[in-house]
Amino acid sequence: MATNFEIVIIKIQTFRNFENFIVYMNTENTINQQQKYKLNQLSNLWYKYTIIEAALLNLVQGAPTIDIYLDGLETRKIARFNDKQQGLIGLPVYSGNDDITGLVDLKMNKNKKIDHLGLRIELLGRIEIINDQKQSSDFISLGKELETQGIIMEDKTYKFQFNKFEKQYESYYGKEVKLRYYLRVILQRNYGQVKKEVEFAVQIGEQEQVDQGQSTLKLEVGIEDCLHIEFEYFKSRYHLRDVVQGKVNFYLVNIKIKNMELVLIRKEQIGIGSSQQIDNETLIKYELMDGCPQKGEVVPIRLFLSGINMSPSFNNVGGKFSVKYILNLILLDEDDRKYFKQQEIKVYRKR
Amino acid sequence: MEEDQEKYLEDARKVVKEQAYFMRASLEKAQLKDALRYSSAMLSELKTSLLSPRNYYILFMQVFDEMRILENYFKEEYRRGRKMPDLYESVQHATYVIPRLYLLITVGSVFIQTHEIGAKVILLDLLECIKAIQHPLRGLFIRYYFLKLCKDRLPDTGSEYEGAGGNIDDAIEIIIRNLSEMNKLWIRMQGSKEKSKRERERMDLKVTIGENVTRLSNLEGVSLDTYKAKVLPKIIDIITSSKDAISQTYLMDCTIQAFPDEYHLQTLQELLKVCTTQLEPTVDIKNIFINLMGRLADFALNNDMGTFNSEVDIYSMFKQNIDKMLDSNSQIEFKNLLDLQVAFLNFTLRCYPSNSEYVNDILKSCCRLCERQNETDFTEECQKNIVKFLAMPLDTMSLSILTMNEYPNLMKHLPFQKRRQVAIKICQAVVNLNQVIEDLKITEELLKFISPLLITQNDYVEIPENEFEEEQQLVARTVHLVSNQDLSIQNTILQKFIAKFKLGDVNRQKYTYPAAIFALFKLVQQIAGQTERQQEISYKALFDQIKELIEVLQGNFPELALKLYLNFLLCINTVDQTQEFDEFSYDIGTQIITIFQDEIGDSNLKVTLLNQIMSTFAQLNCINPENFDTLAGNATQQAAKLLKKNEQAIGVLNSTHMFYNRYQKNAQRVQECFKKALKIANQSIGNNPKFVYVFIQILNKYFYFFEQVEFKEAEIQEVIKIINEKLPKALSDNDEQSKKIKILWTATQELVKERKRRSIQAYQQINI
Repeated sequence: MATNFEIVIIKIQTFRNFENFIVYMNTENTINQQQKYKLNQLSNLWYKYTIIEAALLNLVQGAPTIDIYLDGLETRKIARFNDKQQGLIGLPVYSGNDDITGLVDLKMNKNKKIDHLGLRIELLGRIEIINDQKQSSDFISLGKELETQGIIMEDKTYKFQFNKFEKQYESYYGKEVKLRYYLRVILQRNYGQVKKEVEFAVQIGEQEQVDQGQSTLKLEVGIEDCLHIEFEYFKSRYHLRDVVQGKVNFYLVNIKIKNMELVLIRKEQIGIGSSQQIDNETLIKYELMDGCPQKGEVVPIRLFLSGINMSPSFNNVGGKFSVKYILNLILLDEDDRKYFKQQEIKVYRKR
Repeated sequence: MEEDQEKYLEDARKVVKEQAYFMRASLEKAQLKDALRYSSAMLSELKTSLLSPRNYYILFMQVFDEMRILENYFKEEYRRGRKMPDLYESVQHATYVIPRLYLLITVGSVFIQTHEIGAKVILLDLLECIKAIQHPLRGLFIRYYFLKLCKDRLPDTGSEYEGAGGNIDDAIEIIIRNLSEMNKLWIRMQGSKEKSKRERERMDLKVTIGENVTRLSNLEGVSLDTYKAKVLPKIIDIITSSKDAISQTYLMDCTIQAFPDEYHLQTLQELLKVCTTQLEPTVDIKNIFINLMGRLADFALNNDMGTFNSEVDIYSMFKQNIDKMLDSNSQIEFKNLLDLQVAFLNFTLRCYPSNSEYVNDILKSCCRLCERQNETDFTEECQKNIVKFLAMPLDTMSLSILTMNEYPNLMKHLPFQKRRQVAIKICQAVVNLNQVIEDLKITEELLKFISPLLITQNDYVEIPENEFEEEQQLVARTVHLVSNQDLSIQNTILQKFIAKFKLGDVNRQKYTYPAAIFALFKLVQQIAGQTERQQEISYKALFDQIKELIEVLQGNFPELALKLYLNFLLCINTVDQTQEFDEFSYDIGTQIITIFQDEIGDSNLKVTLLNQIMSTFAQLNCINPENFDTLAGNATQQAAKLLKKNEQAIGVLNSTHMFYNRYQKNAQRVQECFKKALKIANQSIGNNPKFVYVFIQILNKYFYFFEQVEFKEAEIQEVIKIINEKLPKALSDNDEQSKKIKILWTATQELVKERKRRSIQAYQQINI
């Protein structure tokens, strides 16, 4: 194990829930006092827990344990996701031609020897439909034999390596669907298996396409004799840290507008055809204008995407799902009537 | 409604106070995120629609003070290493636009101060963002906040932000844009309902808009040239592009107040053009002009008039523009146009006090204006203005103003009461000027103007007695100003007056004739004073005229006529040394006696008048002795006819002076008078011991004539004897009369004592 970093996976069992923490330490300096304190606290808990777990295991069967350590985490970017089950998680990111390499650590845990049917590591990419596990499927599955059937006599460490594995899709943790990548090590035994999984993330950066897709989104809408506006987003494609900019021209205003807001909606489409399931989630509401403009006024639009936790747009991922982003421009009048217009924007990850 | 307002305000202030407290607490703990959250909550109170502008202002100021604390904290944060671009972005994540923008402006202000970014970049970005506030009240205030915070951050000439941060043009551009937007919001406040309430509310907010103009005027870089080329045209653009009278009025006024007078002088043409041709008809241009003219006039008076006159022809500029406005058939009300003319005239009189040509030109314009109106347009207010218009030049300019052709043309638009007012004003002006009236032409014009006071005109309206008296006295005072080196001209001028007076009825003549008569007296004396007698004016003609004038008054005002006759006699007396007008004077004397006898009824008055008659007669030398004797005799007889015995006695006693004076030495008649007086006194003394008073008077009269006329010793001793007998009784009462007697007696004793001491022979026999 490298000396200047470590990954600590801490499982804390509380009365109510599990939480996973991956605390990544590069140098001491990146962690402030407060974090350090928290970490110590958590470590203590972890020690307590592992002691309890080890005791139990020994009591029942004295099973061996497997740990997976990924290489080069000190320089790897960490992506944050909000997972339904696990809460906020941070995963190391692999992209482009990245290889994934690391160590598998097998510990005997007081066993004198282990009879086994084989030790195998797999790299899996899986689309999970949360409410319909039948629909879930793997789109990638790579495997490597670390040990063929036999007997292991001592603690052992294996190197593994998946070179330039295919990164067709981005990791995604949505409301109804997840696309996750993970490594799985399985020690097959006659009476069951010992298993260890480690998740990681894949992100696919795109070149900024200057010539393509940067047309402005412009639309005139209105209600006869009441309202006539033209709104314009200067771009139709945005990277994740981009700023949505545009303007709204008021050509005719015969209603009493109270305010105008911009709502960013994430739309998950699962499946296709008649069985298609759509989930809309409002990511942010942003007030654009206060009061009623007069004919001729131009009100600017400026929304920073960087403050919003979002993914790129996905279209028909593995034939299973799409993720779209919609800007909804809403005018509210004094009688609380809504006038709105939705526009899809493409969101991409900037390389 | 009002109570609700108080409650709303109180509630909002409470929240602000509370959130501000948390904000400060967070700042002390250096928890910026929390501080921002609390300040957002505080700023959210400014989202309210419940408050009136005044109350919103109170709330705003409270928030404003708290925001200064936050701003200072941002500065500290920067010193501690916080990246301003990050902060500038992160505050923009706020969901609601009002707190977001207040925070953004605050961060922006600090960002500029770091010099890491050009002031202009931030200021323009802020301006763009603020467009999000379209609500008039909230928009005005956030822009006001913007103005307050960017006050010292503008890339003004000489400022630390000039250069990379932009230049004066950018500074101007930024404020002009803000002004333009604020003006739009302000106008939008007007709405369509509750007009007057809205107008009131708008007026409460005007200073927030005016702040922009103040900012512009405070910019170091706004030199005269910059002002001319870049500032004024843009302001004018803003003013003219709105069609809102309140805004136009205020912004014009603001501009005039904010910038130096010199600038206005150099851009007067543009300013005037805008005022006269490009503003809404309901804009009170008059006030704008009055302000402008007032300032320029002050400037002119405080500075060298030379530069004022030569560099820019201010008068012509005003004139042209005002005329243009008059002729433009615009919808501007007649009343306002008249107001404007009055203001302009006032200005001209102040700045060009000696230029009567200018004044006449303005009068011409005004006439043209009046010609175009219907009769009904001349409202009370308009008439007042015309009155002012006509009277104003008189206060500062000479009477020659009266010869301007346009004067009467204006007058004719006025009804009687107003014409009368003008006439009075003119009269007052003439009197106040205290300049002699020496020009025939001016006299003719003057008489034309004041004829409402002189003649009963067609539309005459009855005037209260006291006012009438006042006005007529004013006319009378005017006559006294008539004077000329050439007495024949003076006479001609007077004759003009008199001819006009003759047309007025006797009620006016009561006042005007005496004035004219005295003026004629003066003339007579002036002629007499000349070394070379002018032949063209004969005394005779003047005397006849005077007599004629008095005769007119005689019927209605006998007392007045009598007094005038007395003065007339004195006048003749001074010039007629040769008794040339003996018969004429005698006639007058007879007239006097006749009037006294036939027309004067009041007995007290009679006593007084008779005294005056006698004292006047006693000075005369213009009647031959025979005629005079008759006159004096008549007067003495009148004395004997007085009501009371004592009056009779003293009257007769006084007539002695007519017979023995500078010109008359008729001792016999004096003695007769004494006898007569004594006779009357003796008849009464028995009944009334107080009558001793008359005896003492008689005794004193003896003393008066002691050295000229011989009296019988016994006669005098008899008088003394009666006095000595009756005196104790007369003095026994302690009433007014007794006191009077005592005083007189004491004085008499003193006199005698003194004369004796000087050893005057006649008094040695007198023992009292």
